[in-house]
Amino acid sequence: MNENIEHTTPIFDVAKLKSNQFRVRLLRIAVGIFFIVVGLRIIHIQIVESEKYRKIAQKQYQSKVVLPSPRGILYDRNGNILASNATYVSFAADPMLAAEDAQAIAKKFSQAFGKHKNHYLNELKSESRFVWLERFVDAKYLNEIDLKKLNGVVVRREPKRLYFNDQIAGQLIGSTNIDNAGLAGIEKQFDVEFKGTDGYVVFQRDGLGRARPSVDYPRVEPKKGNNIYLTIDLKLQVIAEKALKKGIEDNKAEGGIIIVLQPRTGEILAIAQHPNINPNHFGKYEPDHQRLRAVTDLFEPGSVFKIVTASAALEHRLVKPDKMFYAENGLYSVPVTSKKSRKIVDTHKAEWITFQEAVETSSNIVMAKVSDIIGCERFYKMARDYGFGIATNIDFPGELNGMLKKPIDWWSTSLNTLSYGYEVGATPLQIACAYAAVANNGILMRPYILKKETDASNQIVRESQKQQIRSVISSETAEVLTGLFEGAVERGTGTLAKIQGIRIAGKTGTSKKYVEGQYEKGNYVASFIGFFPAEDPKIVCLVMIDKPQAGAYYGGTVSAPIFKAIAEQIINTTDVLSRTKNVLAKKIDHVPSVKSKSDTFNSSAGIVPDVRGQSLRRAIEILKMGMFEPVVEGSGIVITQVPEAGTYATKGMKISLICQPKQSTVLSLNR
Amino acid sequence: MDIWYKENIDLKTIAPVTLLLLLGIASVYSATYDAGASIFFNRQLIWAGSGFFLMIVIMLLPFRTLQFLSYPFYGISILLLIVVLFGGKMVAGSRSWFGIGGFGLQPSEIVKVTTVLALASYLSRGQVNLQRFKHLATALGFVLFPVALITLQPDIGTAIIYLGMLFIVLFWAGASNFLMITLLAPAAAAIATLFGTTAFFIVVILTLVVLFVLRENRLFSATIFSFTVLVGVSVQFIFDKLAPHQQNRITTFLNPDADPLGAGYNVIQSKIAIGSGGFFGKGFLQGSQTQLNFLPAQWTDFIYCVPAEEFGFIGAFAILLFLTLFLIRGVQIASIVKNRYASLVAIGIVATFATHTVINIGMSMGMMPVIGVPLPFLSYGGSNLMTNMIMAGLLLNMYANRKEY
Repeated sequence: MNENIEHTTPIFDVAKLKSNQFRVRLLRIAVGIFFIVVGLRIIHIQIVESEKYRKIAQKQYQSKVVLPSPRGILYDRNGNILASNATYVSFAADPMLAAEDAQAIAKKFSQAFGKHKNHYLNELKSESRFVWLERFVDAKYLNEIDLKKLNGVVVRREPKRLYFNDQIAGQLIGSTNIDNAGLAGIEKQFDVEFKGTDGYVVFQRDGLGRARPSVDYPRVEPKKGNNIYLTIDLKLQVIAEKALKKGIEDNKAEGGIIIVLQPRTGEILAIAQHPNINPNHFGKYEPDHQRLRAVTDLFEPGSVFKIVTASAALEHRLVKPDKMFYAENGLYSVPVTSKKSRKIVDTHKAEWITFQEAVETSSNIVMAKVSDIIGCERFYKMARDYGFGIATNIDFPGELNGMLKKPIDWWSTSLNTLSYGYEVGATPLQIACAYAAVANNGILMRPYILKKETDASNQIVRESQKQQIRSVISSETAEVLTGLFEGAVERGTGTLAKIQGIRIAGKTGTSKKYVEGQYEKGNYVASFIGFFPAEDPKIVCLVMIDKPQAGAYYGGTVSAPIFKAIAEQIINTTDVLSRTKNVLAKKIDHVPSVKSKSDTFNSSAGIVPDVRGQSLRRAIEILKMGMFEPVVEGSGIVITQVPEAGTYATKGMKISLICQPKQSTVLSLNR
Repeated sequence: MDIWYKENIDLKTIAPVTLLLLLGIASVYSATYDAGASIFFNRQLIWAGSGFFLMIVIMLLPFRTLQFLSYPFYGISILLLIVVLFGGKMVAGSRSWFGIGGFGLQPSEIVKVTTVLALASYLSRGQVNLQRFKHLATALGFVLFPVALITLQPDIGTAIIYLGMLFIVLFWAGASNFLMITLLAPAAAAIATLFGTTAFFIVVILTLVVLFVLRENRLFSATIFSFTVLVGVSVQFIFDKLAPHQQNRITTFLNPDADPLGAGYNVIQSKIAIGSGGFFGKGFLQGSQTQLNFLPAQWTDFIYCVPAEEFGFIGAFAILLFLTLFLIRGVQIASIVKNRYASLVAIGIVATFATHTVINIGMSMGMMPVIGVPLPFLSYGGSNLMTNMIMAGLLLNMYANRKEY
C-alpha cells in the first residue's frame, strides 16, 4: 500500500487532526529533551568529572578487607570430627585514620598484649594504609578492646584450623599454612573442596575520612567450604596407633607403618605412622616425619612379595600346593657365570618340602626355583597386574609409582631375586592393595580415602564409589592362595598372629634395608600382612616395623604380634566382624578411648543454631540453651555469627555474635 | 512472504529491543559474576529467551480478540493483585509476590499491561467524553484502583509508574489542557513543598501563568489555583506534624546527598560507578565497583551502572540511544495506527516504558529521587521482563494491524 498515508492519516477523526499532530510533536519533544538532558548528564559524569569519580572508586577499592572463609570440617566415616575451625581475631589499622587516636590505641594494645607502647606507635607511623597490629589472637580480646573508641582500628575474624585429636592420624590429615590453605595430606588433597569463598568488606568513610564500620558496605559474608568425610574409622585408627606405639616400644624400633583397609571396597580404614606428629604444630616437625610414608616412601618388600611368585605359579597352573621341591638344606648356589655363583639362603633349613610348606616357611630357595618355572614375562606381568610399579591412584597427594623394572632391564639373577621380594620398590599401600586383591576373590580395587563430600548445609555433594581396577587372579587361585597364607599363620612363620577361633591368612616378610649402596647389617624392615576372617575377609592389615633393635627382627616375631593385637581389638571392640565376634572366647580387658583435644569432646558435640536476624537477647537465650557461650559485639540485631550456623561445635564453645542496630529500610530494591 | 514480512514486522521496534535485551543479559551476568549469584544470570537468560518468543506470539495474535479480552484480563489480574495482599510473600518489606516453585510472580507487573488495555478499551468507546465528570472518574478509576492496591503492598515506585501512564494516556485521549493542569498542579505543588519554599513558590507561579495563558473559565481557574496552594500548605502542615525520623525519611527520599551513608548511599555509589567508567569503560567483568558489589542487588534497579562502568560512555550512551529510539518509534506507531483502541494501547505502553526509563536512569545518575523501579529490558526480574516483552509484542501487534479501523 502507499506509505505516505501512514503519516497523514487522521487518528481518531479529522476534526482532531490538528490537536493530534500537536500531541505527537509534544511527546517527541519531551522524549528529545529527556535524551538531551540525560546525554549531557552522562557526558558530565563520565567524561568531565570522570577523574574525580575514578579517584573515589580507587580509594574505595583499596579499603577492601578480605573476610576469610572458614574451611569445611573434616570427619571420619562415622562423623567424628578430625579437623574443625577455631576463631581467632586479627587487629589491623589504617594509620592515616588512626593518627588522632594513635596514643590511645598504642596504650590499649600495650595493656592488652603486654608489648611496649612504642611497638604499636611505630606500626602506626607506617606510610601504608593498612598495618596489622596483632594477628591470630584469642577472640576474648574483642571484649577488652573497645573498637568504637579507637578510630581507624578494624578487626578481622580469622578461622584457624583446629585438629581435635592431636597426634591421631597426623600425617594423614596434614595441615594448613597461615593463610588457611592446605599444605599437606588430606588438607592439601581436598583444599579446593575445603576452601569456601572469602567474603570482604569495604570500609566506607565519612566526610572527615573516618571509617564508619556500622554502614560498611558492600559486605559479602564469607562462604564456608565443603565438609569431607573420610573412609577412616577413628576408632580403628586409635587402635592401630596404640598397637603400633606399643610394638615400637617393645622392639625398640625406629618407626613403623600400619595400614588397615577393607578388601571388598578398597576403603582405607586406618593409616598409622610412627613417629607421629601433631598437625596443630605441623611446622615443628622434620619434613621426613611430615610425609605419610605409606604412600610416599618405597620399601623393598622382601618375603611379602612372594604373593606374586605364588600367584603366577598357581594362576598359570605351573605348580600345585602339594608339589615337592628340594630346598637345598638352606643354602642354594646359583651359578651366575662359569666362575661366580650366587647364594640364596633360607633361615628355615629343609630338604624336600611341598610348595605349600615353602610358602608357610617362606623359603627363598623354593621361590627362586619356582620363578625359573614361571619365567620373566609371566612373572613381570603378574607383578604389574598386582599394581607394583604403578601408583594406586589413591586420593592422597604425593603418591609414588613404585619401582618395577621391565624384564629387558633385568640381570640374569633378577628373576630369582624378585621371587623373594628384592630389586623391587613398593609403597606399603601397594603391598596392602595386592593382598586385598587376594582377599577380594582376585580383584584389585582402587584404594580410596574420601567417603563423601557435603556442602555447608551437610547435603551430599559427591560420594565415592568402589572401583575395580582389574581381575589379577581367578577366584579359584585366590582361594588356594588364601589357604597357603592361612597355613603360614597356622603353622608357618606367622604363628604369632594366630587368634583362637578365627581364620587368619597372612604372610611375614623381613627385608634388609639397602642403605648407601649395600644391605646394612642389623637394619631390617619387619613386616606382616594379613586378612581375616579368611572365609569372608573384612579387614586387611599391614604392619611394617622399621629397624627393630631389641633383638628380634623377623616379621614373624616383631610385626605378627602387633597384627594380632590389632585384630583382637577390632574383633572385640568394633562391629566390623559382628558375625564372627561370638566365636571368640578370649576378651580384651579394655576398650581404648579416643584421646581428645578437651574433655568436652566426648560429652558429644552440638550443631550451632542460626541466630542471625534475632534480637541480641533472644540470640543469647538460644545459644545458652544449646550450651554455647555467646561473645557479643555491638547491640541490636545479630548480623553475623562465628562459627556459623550448622557448624559442628563442642559444648561450651564460644560463639561470637556481631550485632548492628535495627535499621529501617528506605528503599525497596529487591525485585 | 517477503512482502508480508515487510508489511507486518517492525524492525525499528525489534532491533532496539533485541539490543537492549542482549546488553541486559551481559550486565546481569557481570553484576552477579562475583556475588555467587549466577543463578540470576541463568534465570534471566531463560526469561529473555521465552520473553522474546512470547513477544512474537503476541505480535501474531488477532487484534480484535485482544480488544475483546481487555476487560476480562483486567479483572483477572486485579483479582491477583487483591489475593497477593493476603497470600503474597513478604519481600523487602512489600507484600507483592507469589512464590511458585522457586520462581516468583509479581502481579503488579502484569497489571501494568492489563490496565493499559482496559483503559484504552474504555477511552476508545465512541460516547466517552473526558469533559464529562462521570466518564473522567471512570477512566481515573481504572488506574487508581490498582494504584491503591499497590500502595497497600506498599510499592510506591510501581504506583508512580501507573500515575505517569495515566497522565500521558489522558493527554493522548484528548483531555483538555485545563484538565491536565488540574491533575498536574496539585501533585507538583505537593512534591515541591517537600523540596522547600522556593520550589513551592515556583510551582505556584507556574500554575498561575499557565492558567492565565489557557484563559479558561475564571471561576474554575481560581478554584484550581486555590486548591494547588492549599495542597502545598497542607503538605507542609502535615510534614511539620510528623515525627523527626519520618521527616528524615522523606527528606532523604527527596535529597539523597543529605545522608551520604544512609539512603543516599546508593545514588553516590551509582554515580561513582558510572563516573569511574570514563569514556571507554573498564572492560567487561572488570568494573571494580560492579564486581565488588558496592550497590546492593545491582542487577535489579541499578543495572544501568553496570554497562556504564564496564563499557563507559559508549555503553551508557548506547543504552540511552536505544531506549530513546524505541520510545520515539512507539509514539510514531501510536500516531499511525487507524484504530483508536490500538493507538491508546500503543501510547499507554510507550508511557509505561517512558516513566520507567526516566525514573530509573534519572535515579542512577542522581537526577531523581531513589524510587525503586526497574530499567526496561535490562533489569533482572522475570515478571518485569515478561511484562516488558508482552508490551513490546503488543506494540508490534498494533503496528502489524495499523491499517485496520
